[in-house]
Amino acid sequence: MDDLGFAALSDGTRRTIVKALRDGERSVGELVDVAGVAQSGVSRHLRILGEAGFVQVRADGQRRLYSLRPEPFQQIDAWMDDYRRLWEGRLDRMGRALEQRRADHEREDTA
Amino acid sequence: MSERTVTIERHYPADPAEVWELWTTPEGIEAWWGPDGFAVQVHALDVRPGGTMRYSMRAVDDHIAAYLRSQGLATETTHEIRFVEVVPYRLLASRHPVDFVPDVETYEVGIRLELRPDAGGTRLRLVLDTMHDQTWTDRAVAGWEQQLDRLAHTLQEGR
Repeated sequence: MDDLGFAALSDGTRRTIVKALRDGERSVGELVDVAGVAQSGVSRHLRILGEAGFVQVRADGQRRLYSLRPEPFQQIDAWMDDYRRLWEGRLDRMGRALEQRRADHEREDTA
Repeated sequence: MSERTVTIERHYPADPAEVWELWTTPEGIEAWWGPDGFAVQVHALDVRPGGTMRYSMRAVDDHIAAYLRSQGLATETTHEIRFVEVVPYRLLASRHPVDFVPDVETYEVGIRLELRPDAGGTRLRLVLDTMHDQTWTDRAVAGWEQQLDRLAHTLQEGR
């Protein structure tokens, strides 16, 4: 995940558009209704999302339909995974430390 | 440096990606580039170091067009600028030929756009080379201030 990818998701209007596309393809007109901004603004946000690889477009007759591409989301997930592992390892060690303390206390109590 | 450049700073309530879009795509540039009363059309655009943008500017305001004709000037002109540094969402440096001043040999001015995120949006810094005399530098600065107002207006549409 590069800077452009994170920058693409750094804007609230663009996150609203991404959220709307989770349910499937949408036209610009439908996204204008959801995002509540002018069509030129939605088009601009779609270009930014497209350049970062989040969104693709296909023609359906006269209409152009936008949808999400899975790849950048998989990249974010892989990036998050490193941190998840780090924290899981840390939490496992904390769990072992708790076990150890309890075992120590029980020994003291029975002694 | 300070004597050879003029710096204009603005804040926009939009993120740097959106401001960058308006500087680097034909749709974006056509929405705000150029002085009031003119329409811009982008014919070629290659935003890379060494790449160029070719565009034409046409007077769409009747009064401006009539004035230009009365002065024996064209109502539509074509321009080409060259990009020298490109860092997406951050830096766009370009060279602009000055070939429209009577009795002054063609030369180039550099224009450097710097964007950085700040609270609630983007801090834009535009560093312009001064021109061959103060009058033309003042005109260029006034022109850019007008364009940056149009840019602000265009950005409103994405909010």
